Amino acid sequence: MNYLELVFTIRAAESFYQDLIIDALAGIGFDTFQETDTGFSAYIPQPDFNPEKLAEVLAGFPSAITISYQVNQIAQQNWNEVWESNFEPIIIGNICYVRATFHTPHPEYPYEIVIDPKMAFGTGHHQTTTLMMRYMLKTDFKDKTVLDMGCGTGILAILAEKLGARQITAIDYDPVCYESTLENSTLNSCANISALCGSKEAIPLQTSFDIILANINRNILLDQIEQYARVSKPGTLLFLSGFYEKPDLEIIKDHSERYGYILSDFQQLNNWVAAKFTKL
Amino acid sequence: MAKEVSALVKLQVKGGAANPSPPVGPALGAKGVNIMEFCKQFNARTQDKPGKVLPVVITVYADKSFDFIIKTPPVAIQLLEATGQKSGSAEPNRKKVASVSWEQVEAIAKDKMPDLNAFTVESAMKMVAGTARSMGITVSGTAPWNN
Repeated sequence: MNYLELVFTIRAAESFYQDLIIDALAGIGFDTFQETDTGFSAYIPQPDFNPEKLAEVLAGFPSAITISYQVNQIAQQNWNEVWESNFEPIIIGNICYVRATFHTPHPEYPYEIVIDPKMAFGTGHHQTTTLMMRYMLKTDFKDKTVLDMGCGTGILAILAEKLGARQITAIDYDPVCYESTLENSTLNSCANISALCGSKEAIPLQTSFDIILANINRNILLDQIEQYARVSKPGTLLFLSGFYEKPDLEIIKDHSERYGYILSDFQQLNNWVAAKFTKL
Repeated sequence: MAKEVSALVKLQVKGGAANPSPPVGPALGAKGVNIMEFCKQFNARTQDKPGKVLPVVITVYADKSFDFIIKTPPVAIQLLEATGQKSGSAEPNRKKVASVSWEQVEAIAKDKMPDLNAFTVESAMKMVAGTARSMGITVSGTAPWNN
């Protein structure tokens, strides 16, 4: 998605006006701000920009303050390209080798995964991805049906297929991640992954899954667990990650219990947690 | 030995909503930082303040690693929250829009002490009260040091 950058120059006797203007802009769709020497720049997805609303908001400030801005368009591109062009391959649990297309193949590993991330999350480097993959390598995926929520690059879905899963539904709300999952599935010759773009509403309700994977964050997990329960059956394994032990794990555990999931184990790496639940 | 710093990036990002788009993308991506990792960490650490604009100072090191400090919202924003106002007064000298108590001023002063150039809570409180008045918010009651 293209973004607009509004470079603001503020002339005011008091510096706090900048904070007030930023706060007001946050209320009309601007999501991030960067401080500059003469003021700040505000960023908004191009389709969300409404010049009338902006004029209305700015008119609410005292007339003694001079506010001017210049609009620049920033075309979408892969901002993570520098990191992606030289990251190191990673080995998980001694048996799974994750690399990019530009790395040397190592087919001697039982599971080799090729990922071109292109601004999607999931290269195995993040502690939460590592923890999820370690759990997966210890779990029986043979002929199982799998749901991967917040699939990012599709790395977990791809590993699930390599471990023998029969059918994998991989869902992400971000179109960039959806595309990435499709591309990486092809790169790894996966045939059992169906990718969907959407949030919890995209989960096909007519199925019940043997295994559910979700590496997202606490608030989204709390919001989605109820929906996971609708596509679970007794014995369904639910692996969650993307949060910290304190205070998140306890909150997620309590919430999951309400929907019949019992915490059976959790693992930690640099404060990040992955947890395993079983549906009653 | 301390790591060599390659850049300091000052942003204000909504809690739980960092994404790899501009300015996070270009500001960090050009330095070789893994943006996705920054977003995951920032969102996990700020998920209790969803939608609230939070100042964050990111230090990028020469080895492409990074760390960051999340600050509490600026004084002016905390004053709006304390008074339930959406904005300050358009005519702060003539038109007062709300009032705060000295207890509220003290709470904000203590919260922002690390960011304010103040050595004592009293001087921090004076700064907060000054900001309040400039915004058209009166401070009700007697200052504790006048009691």
